Amino acid sequence: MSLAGLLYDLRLVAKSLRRDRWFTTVMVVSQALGVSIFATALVTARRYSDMTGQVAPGVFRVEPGRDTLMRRLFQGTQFDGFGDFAGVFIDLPTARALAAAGAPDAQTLSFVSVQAGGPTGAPADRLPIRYCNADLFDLFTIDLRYGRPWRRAEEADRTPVVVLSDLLNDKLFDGRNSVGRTLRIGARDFRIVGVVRQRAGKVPVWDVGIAPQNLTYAMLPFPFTDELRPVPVVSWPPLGADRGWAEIAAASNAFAEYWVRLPTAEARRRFEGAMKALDPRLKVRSADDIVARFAHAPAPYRVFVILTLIVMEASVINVMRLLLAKANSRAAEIGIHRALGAGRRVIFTRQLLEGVLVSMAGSVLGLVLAVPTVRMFDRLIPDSPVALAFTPALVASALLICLLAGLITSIYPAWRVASVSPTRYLGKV
Amino acid sequence: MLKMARIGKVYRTGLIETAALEELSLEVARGDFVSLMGPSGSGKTTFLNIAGLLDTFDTGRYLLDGVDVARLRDDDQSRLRNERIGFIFQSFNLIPDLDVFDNIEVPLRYRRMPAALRRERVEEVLVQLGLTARMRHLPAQLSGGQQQRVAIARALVGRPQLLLADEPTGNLDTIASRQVLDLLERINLEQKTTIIMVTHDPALAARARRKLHVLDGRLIDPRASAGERAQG
Repeated sequence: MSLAGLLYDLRLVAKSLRRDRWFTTVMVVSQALGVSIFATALVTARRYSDMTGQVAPGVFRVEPGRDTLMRRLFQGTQFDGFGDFAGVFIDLPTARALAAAGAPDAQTLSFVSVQAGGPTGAPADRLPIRYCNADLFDLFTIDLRYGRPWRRAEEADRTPVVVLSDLLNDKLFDGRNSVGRTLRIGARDFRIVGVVRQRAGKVPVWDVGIAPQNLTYAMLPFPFTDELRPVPVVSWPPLGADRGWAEIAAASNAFAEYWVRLPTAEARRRFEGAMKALDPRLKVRSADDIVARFAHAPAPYRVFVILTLIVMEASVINVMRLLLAKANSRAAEIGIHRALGAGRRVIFTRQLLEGVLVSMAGSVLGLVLAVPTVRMFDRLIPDSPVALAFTPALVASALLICLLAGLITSIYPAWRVASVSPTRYLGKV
Repeated sequence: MLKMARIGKVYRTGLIETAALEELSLEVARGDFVSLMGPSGSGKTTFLNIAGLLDTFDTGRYLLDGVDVARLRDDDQSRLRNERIGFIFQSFNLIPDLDVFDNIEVPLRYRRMPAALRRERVEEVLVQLGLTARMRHLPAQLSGGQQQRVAIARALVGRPQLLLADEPTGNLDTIASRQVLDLLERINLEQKTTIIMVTHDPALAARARRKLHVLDGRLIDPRASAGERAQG
């Protein structure tokens, strides 16, 4: 088909859709509802498979290898996932003992605490703080929007430096480059040296255990735990700040993540030996394994996606029936075109084009409608490590699936209309 | 121009078969003006559908300008219809969304004619039929007579060799009917276009050069007497 022919067909189809506004509206809305439900399910399922963060080779997380109290507590409840995340942390005394054992060439403890703080001179606010070591920036390829990470030397010297997450930088500094400005936490000012880039709907592997509201965090060098006396947000039974850091650090009910890099098989063997001596149930799990685990959505989410795909297809089939009904209502016009020289192929293409246009409009409207639905879902599902969000890849894949479904389903009505004898449409010549 | 030999057409609805045409044979020469009369259900419409390549036949042979149409695929039939045949319908059958110019242009679009040539051809028939002032009007904004003139313009714009007219004056008043008939006569004389016109009006049929009657799917020679018809 020539471009001029395609444009002519588009013009005729647009006129036809405009004339039967009611039909067109019902078709577009019908498809949009199906698409919005499907897109919501897709976004919900994809959040578990959109993990980002390149991992250096030989990076492992030390895991308890047993049921934690939290996991048992939440098992079988709607917060099951939360218990699952808690099960990947080890208690602080174990982590500190392993850190002292040597073998890894890079390592970091990491936990999040919520403290009061804010830009110097401004009123203090709730501030999630991730305490970690400078090695975190070596273990993972962390993309920085502004500035740089802090260095080992700065950490050893207890230089008061801080790296913000994108979300916190947006909240405190409207997303502007805040490098060089200061943040007051406790009684000390910390100089901002970098801002970590975060992408909506994607969770970096080092952020998996963080609740969505705490992703708006500041990263501080671990040695400042002594001074700021944070309480890890994952602790059970809960700890109080009044107990002091020394007591908290020694408590077996305060948990942290512990990442190590074991570059060789020998280093891994030595580390595992030290680990087993400390607690035989401890195990290491490679960061690549963790990423792979999140490559597929959990089974309930996959079932949800399939069910909504069926709902979407049902709405598309409904559109197909409406397209047929619409074609019947304009039968005479199709007959005139046939009489004037339009072959079956021309009528087929034009009807297909009509189906595709309706499908496109329905899909786009469906994705727009999915935005508030996704937000609602985000609030309803509490165990998410990351806020639900549409990513360009997700929008593109949802659009592609919906358009394909629309295209395939438009083939039948187009074929039916094109294959009917023109005399049936015309009544008589 | 048109040669049909023993054409037969049967419509089937479940177990019921209705013979619409039975061994109909007809030759129409180039430039002829033929009127076709007959009662309702006699097979006039079926004949025009088959003549216009809009319907198929079960038996017989149909040559249009020497081309055996039964051997053509749908696309080729559509092309032949587009290039050689023009239709004039009783109810005009204009496309309501398109204005006069665009309605007339439709057959040329299917011929993939360049835009400039299309415009030239459409403007030519607009002048010929006195519709230039109405070229941007929608069909609903025109009178019945004007709509039929647009339909004739659309039928003529492709310069067809055969014009099939189904009761072209059926929805028109007396004056408009006469104007349309005058126009058809002029086209037949000046452009040597073959015209086959179905009508119920004996006065209109009388203006054709050749008059045919259809009865029960067969062509009847109007000059034959009732007795001869009964025998034959």
